[in-house]
Amino acid sequence: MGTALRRAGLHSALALTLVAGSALLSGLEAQSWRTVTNSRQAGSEGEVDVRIKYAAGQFEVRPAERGLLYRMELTYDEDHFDPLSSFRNGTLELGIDGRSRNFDLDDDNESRMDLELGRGVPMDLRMEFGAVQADVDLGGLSLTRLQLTTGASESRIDVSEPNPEAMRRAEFEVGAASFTATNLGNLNAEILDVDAGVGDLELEFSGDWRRSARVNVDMGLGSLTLIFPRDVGVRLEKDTFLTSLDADEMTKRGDYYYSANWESAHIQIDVTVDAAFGGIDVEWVR
Amino acid sequence: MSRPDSFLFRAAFGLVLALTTPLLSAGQERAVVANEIAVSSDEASLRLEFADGEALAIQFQDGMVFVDGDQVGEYERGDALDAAWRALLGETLSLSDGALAEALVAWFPPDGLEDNAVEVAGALDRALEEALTYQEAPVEEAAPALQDAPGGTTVSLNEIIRLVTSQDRLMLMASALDGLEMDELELAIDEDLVIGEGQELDGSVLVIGGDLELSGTITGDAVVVGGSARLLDGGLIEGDLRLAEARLFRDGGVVEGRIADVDPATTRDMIRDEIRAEVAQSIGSGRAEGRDRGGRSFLGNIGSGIGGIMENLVTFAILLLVAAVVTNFAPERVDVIAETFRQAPARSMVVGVSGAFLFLPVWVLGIVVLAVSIIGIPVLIAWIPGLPVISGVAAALGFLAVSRTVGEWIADREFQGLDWIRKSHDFSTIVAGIGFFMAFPVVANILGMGGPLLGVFRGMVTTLGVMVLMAAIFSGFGAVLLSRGGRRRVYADGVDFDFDIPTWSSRRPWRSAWETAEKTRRQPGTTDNGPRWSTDDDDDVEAPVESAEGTTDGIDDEEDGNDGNGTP
Repeated sequence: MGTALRRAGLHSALALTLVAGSALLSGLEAQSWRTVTNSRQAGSEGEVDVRIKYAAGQFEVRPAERGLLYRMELTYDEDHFDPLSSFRNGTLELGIDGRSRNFDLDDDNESRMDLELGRGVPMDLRMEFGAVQADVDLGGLSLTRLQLTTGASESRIDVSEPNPEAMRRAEFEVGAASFTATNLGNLNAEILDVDAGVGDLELEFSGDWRRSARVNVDMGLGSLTLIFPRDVGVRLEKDTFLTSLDADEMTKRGDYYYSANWESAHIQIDVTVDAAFGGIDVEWVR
Repeated sequence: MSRPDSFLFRAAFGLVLALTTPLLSAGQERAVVANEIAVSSDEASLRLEFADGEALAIQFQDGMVFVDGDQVGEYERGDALDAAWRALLGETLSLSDGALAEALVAWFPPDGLEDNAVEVAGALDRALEEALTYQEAPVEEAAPALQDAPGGTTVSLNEIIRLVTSQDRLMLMASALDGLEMDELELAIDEDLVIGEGQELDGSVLVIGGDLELSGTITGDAVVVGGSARLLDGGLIEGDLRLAEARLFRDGGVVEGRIADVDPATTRDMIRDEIRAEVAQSIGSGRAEGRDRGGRSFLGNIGSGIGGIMENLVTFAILLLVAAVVTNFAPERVDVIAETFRQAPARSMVVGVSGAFLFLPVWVLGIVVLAVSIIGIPVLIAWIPGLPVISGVAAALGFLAVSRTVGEWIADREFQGLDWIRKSHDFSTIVAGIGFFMAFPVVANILGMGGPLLGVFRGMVTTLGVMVLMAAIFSGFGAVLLSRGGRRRVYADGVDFDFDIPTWSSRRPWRSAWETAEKTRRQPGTTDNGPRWSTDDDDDVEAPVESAEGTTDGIDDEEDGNDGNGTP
């Protein structure tokens, strides 16, 4: 056992007795920052399964130029995290994974991952975040499937350009977090599932809609804001408990709330919201 | 550099650079399909993956330089080589594929490197150029000859690589070329060189792994390594002829200079001797350095130990501060908690451990319950920080109560020099108790000064200390829970400790006795010299033996029913 560990054993025990004072006793361990830059050219591989795991820190994704499969710049504390970077059998794994659950989020906030994903490569993209501030732009990526799982994170997803691939399903699993997704119309997804625990959720459905879609939102506690463009028809069904609904410009018929253009709209979005506590706001944009 | 290996390196490196630079510069960089650059305080590494699946890994790690896993040298963090390598990686961070390959191939070791660093840098440069340049097409097809010469001479890149990667050949060549002028050199590797009758080669000749057949003229020197020299009639060498593991067949011919047979064994022995001497010197200096390091290490251990002890003292001081506050403002609660622990230590431990394990679920459950109830939201704000703080305070209070009990136990033992620990004085017993717990890390730190030899004992003491401390904390926490923070005396009063437990739990009888004795002593007319104690220790429960006025048993007469004269 190293000196620091031995000392830490006693210190951690003493810390139980002195909540505030013990902070002075625990020695500050120097962090070992490591920066890794990876890139890979796109080859003749077909669809690529992209698995991104990121435990803590800042995370940013943006599209890369054609010809590049990905480019990643990663800065992390190598004492607490292990880097993930592999490409095998059509599966690309990137990110960092925590060695233990015991790390100070404040200290780890300097961890950073900047990722560029290549356009033109069909991708089944799955991202898993821990305590992360994520800023993700999926614009122009060829996504055949999207799955995003977040813990206690603050995530912003933007689909700034249309997805050239038709996507069967996109899934967002949001923990205790603030989650904003914009231009979801560009996702080109047939089904969008959002499963949120506690937090603020904002889903904005602008974009280049190519087909009608179904949106399922399952929310525990928090606020949900749904923002639709006026040119799509929206039907909303809610199954809620102690949840308010503010659905401007929608008419309730039976169990559903309809936008005025529901019948006539070329694109129809069928929304189901299952919420326990909180509020739902429906807003409209041009 | 006069050492043969230095010369060898320079010769090989210079040769390779001189011969390959034109070829490489005309070549095309290999496609890099993936790259990874990793930089940290003790690492600067580059990994390239090529389209054919091959890879190149160059790693500066912990003072050592590796190429594809093989150590090629050493560096020191921040030295010129390390700085140059990191600068290269910094420049190429944002590059990929062709631009990356181009930048890496263009890298050249910086000036001003020390001898060893020059060798390492050369190895890196070669590794980069070899890996990043197409090698499929033999260079000889693209570049027919380096120099027009009779008989034709072709040098392929592969041959050069074979040459420089063959240590024996390099040694031979280094010995054979030592001291020769090679401004104009005709080179033949693994093939014969024929200079026919009437032909003249202007300059020197180096034939490696092939035969030299000479019927014409060589105006310079001729060196044959690992083959044979056939000196035929009409052949003329105006300079020296050197043979390294080569045979000479003479059928006429003239050598105007010396004919020297370079003995590789001698050269090898010489090199070995030098290497041995160098290694011995390094080991000698290494030993000296090791002694220095040992000294530093020893001092480091001492420093580390003293630092640890200082930390322990600071911890001790903070705990004393808390103890002073607690004993001053909540003595009764500490009293009840301590009694609870004393009367029910096992129960306290179980409750404490259970409480600690239940803390997190209860906390989370509370958050959830409060979050889902509208009126609970304000409470939630207090709950989230409140429960951890309250639990921490409870653990601290319990720990101090346990410390006091331990201190009283120490007082009962009447250790020499510890007579300042008085059971009548809460603070002194708490100090003693905390001192007991802090003794473990202090001893561990002292043992740590002894270095690795005492490491095992240090580990044992540390482990024991943690276990004892955790037991105290959990028990104290449990006692706090059982006594409801020192307000409930159910367990504290569980035993009539006034009489049944004369040592640990006789605080009140002792106090009563002491107070009675004091009263007696202060009464007007008291002659004696005050109550006489059986020992000098104020804490002795047996207290007064006899006084003129009569208390006899150390128990307040009013309490025990005596009349003050020893009669009921």
